[in-house]
Amino acid sequence: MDLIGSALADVLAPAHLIFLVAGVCGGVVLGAIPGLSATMAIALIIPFTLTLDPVPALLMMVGAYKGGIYGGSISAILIKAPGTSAAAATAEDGHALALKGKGMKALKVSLAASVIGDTFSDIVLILSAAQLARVALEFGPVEYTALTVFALTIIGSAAGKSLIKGMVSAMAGLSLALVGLDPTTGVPRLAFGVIDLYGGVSLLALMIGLLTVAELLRQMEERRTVSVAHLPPPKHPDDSRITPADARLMVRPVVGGSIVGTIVGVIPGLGPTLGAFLGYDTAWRFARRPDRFGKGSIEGIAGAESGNNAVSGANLIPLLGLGIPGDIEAAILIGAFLIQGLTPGPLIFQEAPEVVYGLYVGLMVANIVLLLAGLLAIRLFTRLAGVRTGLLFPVVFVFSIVGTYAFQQSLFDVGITFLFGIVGYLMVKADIPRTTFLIGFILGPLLEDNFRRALQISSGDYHIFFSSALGNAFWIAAILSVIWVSLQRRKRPAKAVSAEEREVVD
Amino acid sequence: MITFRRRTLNLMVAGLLTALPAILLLWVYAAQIPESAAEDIDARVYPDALAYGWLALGLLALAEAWLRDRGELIEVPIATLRHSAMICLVVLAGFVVLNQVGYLAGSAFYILAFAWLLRERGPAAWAAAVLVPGIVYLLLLHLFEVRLPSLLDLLVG
Repeated sequence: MDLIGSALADVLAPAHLIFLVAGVCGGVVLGAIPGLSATMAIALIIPFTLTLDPVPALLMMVGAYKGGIYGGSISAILIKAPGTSAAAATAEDGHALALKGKGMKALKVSLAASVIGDTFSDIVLILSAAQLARVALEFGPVEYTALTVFALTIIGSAAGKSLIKGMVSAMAGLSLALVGLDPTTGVPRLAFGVIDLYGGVSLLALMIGLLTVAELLRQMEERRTVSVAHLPPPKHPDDSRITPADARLMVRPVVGGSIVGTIVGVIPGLGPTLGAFLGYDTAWRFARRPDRFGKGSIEGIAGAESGNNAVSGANLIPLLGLGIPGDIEAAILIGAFLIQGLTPGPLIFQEAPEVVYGLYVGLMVANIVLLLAGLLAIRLFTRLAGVRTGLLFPVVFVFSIVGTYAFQQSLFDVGITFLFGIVGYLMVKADIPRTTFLIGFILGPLLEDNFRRALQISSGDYHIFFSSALGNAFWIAAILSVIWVSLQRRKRPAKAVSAEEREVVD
Repeated sequence: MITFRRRTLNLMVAGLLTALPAILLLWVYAAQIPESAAEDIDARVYPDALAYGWLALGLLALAEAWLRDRGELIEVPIATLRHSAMICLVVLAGFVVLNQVGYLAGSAFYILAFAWLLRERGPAAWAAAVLVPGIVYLLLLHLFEVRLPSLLDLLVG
């Protein structure tokens, strides 16, 4: 209780709360602009948190994460151009409502469903992450090696259009993580005599390059011109608010979407896009008015948005409990933890409990801030959907340079950002998922450390990797996940929504 | 309009993905990974395991590319290719400007060049090119005490 009390005081301190509010608003702004996303929002914000203490820094990023995911629904509803891929499920029904003069109602339904989904998954996170961490503390190097391989396998097989390319991408990320000092001998390896590489490839430069610069290049290539449709004004005051009848309609889809989204969030590799589509699907199955789906269904918006946002809290369960990021946003957050000198995983509950509890409280407060910001500034945020991206994208590009440089004040890192910006852009063209590459890079040191420790214990005997029941369970789960994903892809090639939509984020 | 065979493109990508670990195994690791002390596990065990796994997956990617998308053609307008090439060229040219002349000139170059490519060629682009880098420079200097590399440094001394 002491920890919760001090975390509450920490988060609600005006100097910290302002960062949370800035993160939420910044996330909504970036998420609402077509072509920008929650992923880019967090990646761009990280450099500006470097001088902060861990709690406000994480609050800002968590706020940006939640705000960014919600922001995506604004452009989805108003101009049918989802700011994030996860908002694609909302676009159909949301825009149909907007065309009937009920755009504001759709935005409020989306906001309410997002906040409820978020809060539900945050509660599950708070109740379960410490329990998971307690179990994980019993893991030895064999179990951790098998667990990391399992996580990479499931992320690699679920991301992108090709299972094999996803796995190759993970291997490439793991291999890139080898650059730098050998963890055992402390001797530089794969640095080619370049002193800037002795500390390894900068995680921040890699993240900004792969996620922000590559995405900007892709968006600039499309030369997307956004036209804000002239939406009809509301005909009745009820068209702009959630009526009691609407609220009753929302109950089932929000409950269903929140549960489904949370389950999706716990499983590494699936992400908010799948959460949104499964939430939408669940809402349709249990709908009171299934005939309205696709034509402006409040139930559809509520299901998709609660499913989409419920992923965000649940994603942090494997992150905090095991040190394994569930998707790209969690991967960026793990990067933010590392940059702050914290290693997410079971030990963080013992080493920095104040940060964990600060994060818990911050997540709940962020939901309230999102609700208030959404309600108070909804008209302001709606203007973002029509912003001139022809000027905005170059400016964001400059911000990505500044962010990279500010971290270590190194132009070498800026070069790395550009290099991986172009590599990421080519990866998109070649249908190679960037998510798995980045997660492979982040998990590389964890895998190497445990792999080598296991071999040291067994004096080089590889049988040790199959000597533990739990480890074997992870190996079997890894193999089964690959088989299951391949069978699913074979069975339902047309239902490639999850993979293709996720590729927007990948 | 340029026409490509999708399978050829996929084979090229898969070939590259297979060649990379082979290059690492054959030439790079031997020269770039120092040996461990006698009592330790060989420093190449883990990198080799990764590279062999990558190589095996690369070969599977080659097989997948060979078996799929036979006869499928992709048509890409030359203007799109030129536009993509221009974007990459701007990134590289801007980095040279950034390195040689400094942040302010490099950022202004990026904003103007990208805005031009995105058909924003009015005074707003010029204003953004001057104001955004300048404001960011001053904000970083005074709020975060980070001095961006700039020609101003040379002028001021």
